[in-house]
Amino acid sequence: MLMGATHFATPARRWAALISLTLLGLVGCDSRSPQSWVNPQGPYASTIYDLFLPILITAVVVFVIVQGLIVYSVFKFRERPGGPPAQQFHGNLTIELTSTIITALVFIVVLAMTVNTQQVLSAPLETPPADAIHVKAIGHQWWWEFEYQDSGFVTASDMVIPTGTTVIVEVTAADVIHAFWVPMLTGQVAGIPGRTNHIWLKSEKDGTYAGVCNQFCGIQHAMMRYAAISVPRPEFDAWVERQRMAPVTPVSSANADQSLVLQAKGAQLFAAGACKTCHMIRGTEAIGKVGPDLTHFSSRTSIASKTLPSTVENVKAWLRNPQAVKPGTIMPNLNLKEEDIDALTAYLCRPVDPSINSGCQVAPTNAAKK
Amino acid sequence: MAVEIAPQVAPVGAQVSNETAPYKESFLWEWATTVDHKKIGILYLLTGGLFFLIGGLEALLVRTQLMVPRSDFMSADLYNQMFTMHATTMIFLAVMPINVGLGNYIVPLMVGALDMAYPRLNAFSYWLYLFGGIFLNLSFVMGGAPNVGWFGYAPLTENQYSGSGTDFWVIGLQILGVASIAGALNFVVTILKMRAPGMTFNRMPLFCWATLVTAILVLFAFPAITIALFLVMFDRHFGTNFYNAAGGGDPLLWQHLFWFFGHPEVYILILPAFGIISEVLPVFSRKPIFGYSFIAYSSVAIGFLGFTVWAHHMFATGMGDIANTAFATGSFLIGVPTGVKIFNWIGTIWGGSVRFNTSMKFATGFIGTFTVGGLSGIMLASPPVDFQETATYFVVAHLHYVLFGGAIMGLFAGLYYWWPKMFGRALDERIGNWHFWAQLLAFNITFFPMHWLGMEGMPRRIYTYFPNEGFDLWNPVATIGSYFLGAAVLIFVANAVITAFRPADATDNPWEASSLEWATTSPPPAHNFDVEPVVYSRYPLWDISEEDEHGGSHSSVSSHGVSATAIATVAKAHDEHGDAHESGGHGGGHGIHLPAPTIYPMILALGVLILFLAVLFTPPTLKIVFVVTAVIYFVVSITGWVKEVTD
Repeated sequence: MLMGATHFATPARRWAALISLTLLGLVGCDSRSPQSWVNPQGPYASTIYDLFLPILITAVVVFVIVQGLIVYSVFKFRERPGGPPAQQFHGNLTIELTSTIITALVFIVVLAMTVNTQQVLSAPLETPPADAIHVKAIGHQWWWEFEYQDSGFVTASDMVIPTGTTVIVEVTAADVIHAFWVPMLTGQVAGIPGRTNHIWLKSEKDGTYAGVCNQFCGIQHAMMRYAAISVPRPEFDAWVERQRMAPVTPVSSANADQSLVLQAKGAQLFAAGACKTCHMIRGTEAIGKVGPDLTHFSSRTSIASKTLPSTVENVKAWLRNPQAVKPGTIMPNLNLKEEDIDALTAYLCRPVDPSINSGCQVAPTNAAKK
Repeated sequence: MAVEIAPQVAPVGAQVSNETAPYKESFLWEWATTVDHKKIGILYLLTGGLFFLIGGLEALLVRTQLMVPRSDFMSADLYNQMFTMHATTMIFLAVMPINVGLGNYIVPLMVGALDMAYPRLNAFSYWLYLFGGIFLNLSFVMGGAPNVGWFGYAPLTENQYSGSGTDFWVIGLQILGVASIAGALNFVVTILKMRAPGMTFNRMPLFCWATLVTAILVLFAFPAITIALFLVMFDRHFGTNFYNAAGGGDPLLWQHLFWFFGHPEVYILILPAFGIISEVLPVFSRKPIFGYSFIAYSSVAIGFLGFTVWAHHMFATGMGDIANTAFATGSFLIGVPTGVKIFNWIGTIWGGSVRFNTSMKFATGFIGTFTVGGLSGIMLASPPVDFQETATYFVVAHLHYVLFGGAIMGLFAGLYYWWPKMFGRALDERIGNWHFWAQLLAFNITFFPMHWLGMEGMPRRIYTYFPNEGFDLWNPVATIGSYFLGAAVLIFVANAVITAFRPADATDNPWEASSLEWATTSPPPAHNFDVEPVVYSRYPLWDISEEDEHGGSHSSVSSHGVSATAIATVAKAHDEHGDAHESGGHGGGHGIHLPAPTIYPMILALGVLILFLAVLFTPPTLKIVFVVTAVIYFVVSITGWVKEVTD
């Protein structure tokens, strides 16, 4: 299936895509890939795609010419009995100069287009739109932390963004070098300890776009995934409001139902046990900074950097032995008792807002459901 | 000490002709003490070939892990060790040494010299390379191989993020760096100072041009990585903070130093192949190279420009548009001489009388596959496109089209071409034909789909991927292709083994080639040439006179075999080796001086291996003992070496 067909832009662009795809046999590309940058879904990615296409077409033309010349000359000038002797020439200044100049001209054109594209890509960083939102992406071994700078909360592995709004992303890293990349929306940029880089992205369509760390960063580089979840602006604003709320710590009482008792036990375990050394939950004693902030954990779509979807069973599997789910991860096997796992899961997976989701099961909004 | 001429060179395992040697030394001792550039060349080729097979095996393990999604064929950590060692092995232990091996054997013959300029240093380079390679691979059984990638981006190489594998990697590369620099010095001096009378730069074979530029690149590029690696070592063991942002250092410093080495390194790997192609194409097209000057000088231009493009590996590190544009410009600039070279090679075939044998097939295959790598390189050279492509499988495809489709294809062209000269018998053409087509097909099945995987956003260096994310189809295809590719390489090994049992019946010049190595026997005697050749043209054995070169109209060269008169019989003794010994009446009374065999280069190199193993694996209190012992060891072996020279 042709990938260009889902491209959101003009018919002319579609034709260009069709021609080039046919030329290259891009039919090899699988449109199901959620991180295909030749299926751009935002202006940053499609600006790059528009530069890539003419370069690709040029490359295909040169490829055909060169391979044709090789095959033709080897066949045409093969040694045959009684055939003509080899022509003893040492070169041809005209041909050499012409090929040099043509090659150079092609490169000059490509360079000019490159510079033009760079300016287009840099403009929103120099003068951000008034309605832009700001997110700081911090790479950790092996998860991404997203700090919503306008609203003052952090999340992990889910980067919820408003559709049609420019998002300015400040990228850095806490330990080793990582790279921030949402291929369908934006190009990659390195997160480097002690430095900050900036990139922007904008999604044109609601949906979930895969993000990956694209700089080798240690044993679980492959499992340092995240999702850019694009939702309509009102839903985004509602999501922000819910994330800003201080979570209510469940407290057991005499007449509390069984699930609340379990949640309260989990809350106590979390605040008293090993969890709080590494994790933070706002409004509690847990203020660890090593692992992800688990405030409103149940609103997230995945656990362990999209190693597993967020379900009660997966959360339990993780707590039972993180090393079995994601070998080499920083979180050790805490050898928790099964009833403690149940309590912690009940605590972590309790809904952020019971009217909206039931915890550890559903995407943060209906729109983001796929 | 008694001085002996090494007997005539012969392939490993073959009967060594001993007519001229006064007494027979044991086979092992003879090879361990040799300072003959031809034997050292063969040692390089054999060792490089072995490491090529090891590196290939590592690649097959990597591909096996990636055949299916969520595979548990190997652990994440083992996978990281495998891809790190695959790249490190292929670059430092296989392709570079095989290049050096071919150069070692062929360059002195091509320029009409007796040996390399510094025969003992040459032996020392080889032994250091061998022990460096062993050192690196010992890590597999001594706490885990390096797992930080061959590029070892800081701060992943700092103590808190990686284990002893990184120490093996740092020190192993330092050892190999010394070997490379020593080898490069030898090539530079040999080519600059030891050319036959009459061989001006403009008459020098293009393989020598390529080797000269490569050697100069090594001399300028390796110091950068040497320094960079020292800083890693200091950070890891002495508590400095060169790459530690929290301590005021900068992780990006590593990338600049590394790629200042790393990009020229690409040309160090590929330029010798350019040289080989430029020798093979004219010979089998039966006509002179198209645009000799352009090819020669463009190698120099590529070498120079190669130092101006390092940061195109770092477009996505946030250098800013201006720096990115500057490095993109350099990268496009370097594409011009490279691109025009391709047209020159096609121009060489054009109008020829093409003998499409195995060597020629690899040479034309090189042009085709290298072109693909060049074209994908242009896409990567544009920073915005690079933002989407860098560190994806698109780059994996690109670099393998350049290094396998380019360097390895070129090396096979060279091996088939020079095999009769080196071993006295040609490789089998029929098996070679199978080898070529199998390799070409398997190579493209393995690596072309990686372009698509890259466009679908598959990151490099991930040990596994998820099903239904677009990577399920081309990964198994690439893996199956890689098995065929492994089989294709084994066809070559079979060819080498089978032909080794055939009679050594190669004539001096079986391909009716033009350069000086074909003017002596196959294989050549220890002293290379009975008489010092004198060169009057670019194609001494084709006997094309200067007038013809300028007139451009010569009758077919294919009618010319070796012209004995083309080489003046100047019986002038070679005594460029100030430290050489009297050969004891060898060489038909020509009074040729040959350096004596010596064990000391090997002893000295072995000391480096032992020293570093001791320093890494002894308790702190014993370290000082080892260092003192090592110093004594080095003093003794260097004294032995020098004493032997001056005796």
